[in-house]
Amino acid sequence: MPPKSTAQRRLAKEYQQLSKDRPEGILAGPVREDNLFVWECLLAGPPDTAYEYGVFRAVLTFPKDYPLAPPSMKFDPPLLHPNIYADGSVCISILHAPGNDPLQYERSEERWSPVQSVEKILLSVMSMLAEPNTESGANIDACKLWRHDRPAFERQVHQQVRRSLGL
Amino acid sequence: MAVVVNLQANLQHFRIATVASWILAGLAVYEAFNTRPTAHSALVELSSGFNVVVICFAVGSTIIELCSRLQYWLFGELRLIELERMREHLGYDLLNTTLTIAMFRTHSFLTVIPFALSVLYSNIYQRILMDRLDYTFQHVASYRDIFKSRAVVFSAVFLIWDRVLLQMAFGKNWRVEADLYTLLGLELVLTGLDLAETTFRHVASFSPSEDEEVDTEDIFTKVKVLEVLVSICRLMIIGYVLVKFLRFGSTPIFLCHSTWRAGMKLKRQVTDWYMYMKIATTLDSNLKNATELDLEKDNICIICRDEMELDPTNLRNKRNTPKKLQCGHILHLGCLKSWIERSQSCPMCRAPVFKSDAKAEPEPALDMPNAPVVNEDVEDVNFDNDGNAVNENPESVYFVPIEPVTLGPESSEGASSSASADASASVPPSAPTSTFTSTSAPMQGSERHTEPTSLATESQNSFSLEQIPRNMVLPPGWIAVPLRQTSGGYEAIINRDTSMRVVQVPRHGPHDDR
Repeated sequence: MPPKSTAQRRLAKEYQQLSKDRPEGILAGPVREDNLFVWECLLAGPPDTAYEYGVFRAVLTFPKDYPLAPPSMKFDPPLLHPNIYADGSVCISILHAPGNDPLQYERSEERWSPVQSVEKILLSVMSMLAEPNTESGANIDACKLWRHDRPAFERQVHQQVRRSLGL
Repeated sequence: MAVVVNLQANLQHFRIATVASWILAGLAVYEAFNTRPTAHSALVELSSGFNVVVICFAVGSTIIELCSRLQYWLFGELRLIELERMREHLGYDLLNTTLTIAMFRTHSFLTVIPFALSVLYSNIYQRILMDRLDYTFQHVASYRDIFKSRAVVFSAVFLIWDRVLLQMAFGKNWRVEADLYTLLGLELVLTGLDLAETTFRHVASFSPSEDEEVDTEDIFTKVKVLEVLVSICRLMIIGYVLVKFLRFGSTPIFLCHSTWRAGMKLKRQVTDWYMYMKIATTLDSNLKNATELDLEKDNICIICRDEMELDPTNLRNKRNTPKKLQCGHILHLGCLKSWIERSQSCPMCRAPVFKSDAKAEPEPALDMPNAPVVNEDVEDVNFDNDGNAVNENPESVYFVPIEPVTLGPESSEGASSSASADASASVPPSAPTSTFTSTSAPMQGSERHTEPTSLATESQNSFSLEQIPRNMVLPPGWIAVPLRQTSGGYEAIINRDTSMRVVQVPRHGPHDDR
C-alpha cells in the first residue's frame, strides 16, 4: 500500500533520504514498515562528553499532522540529562509547537517548523547531549548534579553508557 | 526522577497513615463502647477531643484512597503531563472549594461536604480526561476506534454525570440562586464546557489517516467557530452568576476574576481568528505564483517535501500551485494554508507572511527612539532568497549601489560598531545627500538588483545595506527603523536627518539553519 497522506509521504521521503546519506552517529527508521508514525533511532553519544561511546535508543512518535506539528521523542531507557525528563522524554525547543508561550520563555524562531526534519532533530538532540541547557531544565535533579557535582553526574552517565552497550 | 520517586514514597507513607488511622479509629470506637454504659454516651465520647481527629482522618483518607483507585481504574497510569496538569490545578481547586464552603453558613455541613467532594473529584477527573483525549486522538486510526476508545466513552459518561450533579445543585426547575450550590455548580459547568469543547474539537478535526488530503481549512473554521461559541457561552454563564450575586449584595472576588479571564480568552480567540481569516482569504490573491526561474533553483516544497511544478493547465487543483512568499520562499498553496492555521509566518525564515502584520515580529531589531514614519513604500521592497533586495516597483527604490563603501576588516565577522562607524563616516552628513552609497553586505557580496532610474526620484536619500550586530550602539543621531526579518537577521533602515540606510542585523539564534 503506497503511503497516501502528506505525513506518510513525507515520512517515507525522509526515511529514504536518511538511508541514502546517513549522518554520522545516527541511525533511524520506522519500527514497522506499515506504520510510519513510530520511529526507532539509535544515537551515538557525542565525543568528548560523558556520553561518549554510548549508543542510546530513542523512540520518535509523529503526530498525524506531521510536519505541521512536531514529533515527540523519548529515550528508552531514560537517559540522565538536564533536558531529558525522568521518563525519557526530550525537552528541546525545536520539538515545541509554534505559537508564543505566555512566559516568553522560548523565542518563536527556535520552535518547531516544517523546515525541520528527523535528521535535524536528531542532530539537535546530539548537540543538546553535548551542551545541556540548565537554565530551562526538565530534570531538576540532573540539573543540580550537572551544576554542583559534575563528577557524580558523569559517573552516573558512564553507568548508563555501559548499560547502553550491554556491559 | 525525584518527583516520581517522591510521589511514590509519599503514596506509601499515605497508605501507612491510612491503615494506622483505621486501627486508631477502631481502637477508639472499641474503647468508647467498652467504657461507656450506653451507646449515646459512647457517641458523645467519640465526638470529642482526639477521637474526632482520628475518625475524620480515617474517613478522609479512605475517600482519597477510594477516589485514586477509581482514577486508576478509569485512566490507568497517569502520564507525566496529566500529573503535572493535575498538580497545577489541584491547589486552586481545593482552595476555591474550601473558601466557597466557608462563605456560607446556612447549609447543612453533611449535605454540602459530599456534594463539594464530588464536584471536586469530577473536576479533577475531567481535566485528566481532556489530556487523555488529546493523546487518544493522536493514536487512533479510524472512526470505529474512536467509539471504542475509553476516553470518548468516559467523556460522554462524564457529561451526563455533570448534568446529574447540576440538577442536584440547581434543583428540578434550574433556578439559579446566590448560594453555595450555585458557586460549586459553576465550577462544574466550566469544566464540563471545556470537556465538551475538547471532545467536539477532536471529533470534528479527526480524519482517518487513510484518507487522501482533506481540505483542513473547512475543519479549521468549524473548530474556530466552536471555540468562539464556547467562549461566549462561558462568559455568559459566569456573567449571569456574577450578576445574580451582585444583586444579592455580595461580590465573590474570584467570580470577577473568572469573568475577566473568560472575557480575555474570548477576545484573544476572536482576534486570532480575525487575523487568520484576513490572511487566509487573501493568501491566494496576494501572493504571486512562482515563476519558472524561481523553481529552477529549488523546487522542493519544504512542507510536504514534494516537487513543485508549474502547471498552468492544472487549475482544478489549486492546492498544488507553487506560491512565492514575500520573503522569497516558495511553497505549495495548500501546504502554506495548513501551516498558516498554526503560525502566520514563513516556515523557513519566520518572516510574517504579510508584512502588514508587523506584530508578528518577535522583537524589534534595534532600539528606535522617535522612529520617524518611513515611506509607505517600504512594503514594496521585495527580497529574494538570499535577502537581496529585489525591486519590482521602479517607483520605490531604497538602495542603489554606486560606489561600494569599503568596510573595515572586522565587518566580515558579523561587523562591529567601528565598522558601522566607518560606514557612517563614509557618508558624512555634510556630503551632498544625493550620493547613493551601498555597502555590499559582506555576507553576500553580491550585486543588488538596481534601478538607476530611481536616482532622480529619491535623490534626497542615501542608503546603504549594512550588517551590524543586534546589540550594536548606533552612532549618535542615527535612528534604526526595523524593516523586516530576513534569514540572516534583521534589516532596518537607519535614518539620520535625510540619509537613510538599510541595515542588516545578523541573528544569533542557536537553531539558525543557515
